[in-house]
Amino acid sequence: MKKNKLVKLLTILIIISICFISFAGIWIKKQGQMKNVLPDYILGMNISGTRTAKFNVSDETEEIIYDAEGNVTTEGTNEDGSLKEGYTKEDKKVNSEEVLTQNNYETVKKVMEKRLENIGVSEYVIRLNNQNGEIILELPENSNTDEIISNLTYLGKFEIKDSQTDEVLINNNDVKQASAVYGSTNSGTAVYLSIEFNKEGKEKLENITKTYISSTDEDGNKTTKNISIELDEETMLETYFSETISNGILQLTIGSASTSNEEIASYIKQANQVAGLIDGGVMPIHYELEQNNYMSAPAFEMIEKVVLGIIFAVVLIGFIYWIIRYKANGIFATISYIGWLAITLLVIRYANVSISLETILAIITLLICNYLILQYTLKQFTKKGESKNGIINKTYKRYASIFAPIAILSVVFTFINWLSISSIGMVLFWGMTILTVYDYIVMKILFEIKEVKK
Amino acid sequence: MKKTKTLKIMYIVAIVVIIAGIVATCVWKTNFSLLYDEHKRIDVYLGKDYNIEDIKQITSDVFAGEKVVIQEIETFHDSLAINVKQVNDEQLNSLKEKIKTKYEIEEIDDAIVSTTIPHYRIRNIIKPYIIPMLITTLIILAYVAIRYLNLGMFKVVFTLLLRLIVLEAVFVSIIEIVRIPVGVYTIPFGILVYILVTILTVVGYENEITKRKEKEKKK
Repeated sequence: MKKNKLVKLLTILIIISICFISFAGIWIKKQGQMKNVLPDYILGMNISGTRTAKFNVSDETEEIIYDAEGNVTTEGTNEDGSLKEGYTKEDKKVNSEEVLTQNNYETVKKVMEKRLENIGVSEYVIRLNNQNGEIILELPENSNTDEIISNLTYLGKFEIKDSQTDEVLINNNDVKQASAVYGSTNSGTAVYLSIEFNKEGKEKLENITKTYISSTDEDGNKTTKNISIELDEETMLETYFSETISNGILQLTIGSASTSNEEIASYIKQANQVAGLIDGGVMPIHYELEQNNYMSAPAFEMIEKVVLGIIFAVVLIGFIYWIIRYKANGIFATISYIGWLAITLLVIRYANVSISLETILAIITLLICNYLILQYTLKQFTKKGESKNGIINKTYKRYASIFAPIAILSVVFTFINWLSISSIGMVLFWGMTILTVYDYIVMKILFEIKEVKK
Repeated sequence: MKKTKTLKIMYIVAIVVIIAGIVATCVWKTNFSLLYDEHKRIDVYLGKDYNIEDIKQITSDVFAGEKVVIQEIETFHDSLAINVKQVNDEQLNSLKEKIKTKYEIEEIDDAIVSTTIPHYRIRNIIKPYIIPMLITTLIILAYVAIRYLNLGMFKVVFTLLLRLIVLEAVFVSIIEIVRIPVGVYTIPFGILVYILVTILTVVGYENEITKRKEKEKKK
């Protein structure tokens, strides 16, 4: 009997300690400052804030030089910068009036969305002003945000050209998909940009790889026909082919490293970015980044504070009901309920789960679930003729069936590549797992059948 | 018998609410929260520390009775964004004047910039949730069909599906009728409704099984 009481006391002490650690943290002095040893909560976009970028339709002009025959040329100036004789110059808007249509604005938005998905951005808000094409993008703030935003102003125009004539041999229309791949070589790990072409592109590529080669004639003269691979009219690579590619997959080496994981990761990131641009399609309109600011989330409004207050009050009333109705078991249930919340919050810190307004509602769901299971158990403990183990087993059997749908939802949501959804899944998953194990232990140790039967 | 009658009344009420919701949707546009709707964002670059209460006082003077949401720009506490549904020239000039006086800013036109923020579309809010919800529902229905086979596979699946559809429709209808602003809480609350309906339905199935077992025991 004494041993039993000691175990109970020890359990309660452990629960209270966990509560203190979880709610208050463990503070130690580091370099003259008090610091919490526990990892901070990762806050989602709607709690911490967002990086907000505003993209405008570009109104820039570009200088176009025509030769005497009216063909566009890039070599139309003399050394002193003056135009060659017979050549003419024109300042042309990068976006002609004809391309500034609602359809094209929508296309740009879709291309941006596709690029964000391709590079694995797991949460964003994108808004389009149909009247002037302005696009407002909100992203979570992290070390990649600037790079992601800068990638969105590219047109994404991928072309393989004849180096000498500038004839376009292949473009985005011939691409099926692009991705970053890596493999082991003699010198270490090599990262490639892999471009897979569609049926038409496959044939074109095969012909190109047969035509653009280095050859030596009978007199020993070497001739090389080069292609240039361009992205937004910037040359990425100028090369020729040493063998025919007939499988329709072009692999371009981005970089290789023997030991440095960081270097490999950086190459993969580069390859992914280019792949994302090629795969996302071409933007029909030139855009420029006008604003790029971090915006804090709005402070909680009065109504939100009231709702949180109501939830707190309901939970408190529940505790009071338990204590009055079930006496000692009610007190233990209250302590264990708070303990379970503390452990769940502690695990959320360590499991890198992002806390957003959506996950707060997942926590509310868990609060309801735990209340239901404890309430049912407490009620069963007041019934005569059943053993402690019998009651606990009965409770678990019943609630395993009832909570199975939540378990299904949590697992499905966890694997979704959208931060607020996966966060709901992860919070539910951890909450339910802890609830299952923790409630069992607590019920076994703390709840007493005799006390209520009196 | 009494239970069936209550259930019937509940379904009739639900249908009435859904019809009212459809009518409300046709008559009014869906009410979005300020930050989800098309609105004006006025960026204010003060270049010096400010007190949020002072800003709130200024905005409540300028935009009396209108909903205003204030956000901080960057983390230096020297610039902020004021979100309002609409802003006319008079209000903008008044805001400039008040901020100019309060914070002694000379080039006030450069310090205050107004931008139109387009609305966030409902389909964009819902889109990420469609596939996960469909997969979850299918698995849950399969689970319910197997677990409560004794209660009649089609009956349990149909009941759960019907309740989910009806109650989610009621949830949306209430939003439309009461004109609750659609915003950041709408989808999570929808999921909460989904979870609660599923749990309560399954609790009902569990109780029915328990009752049957007790009856069999008595026999």
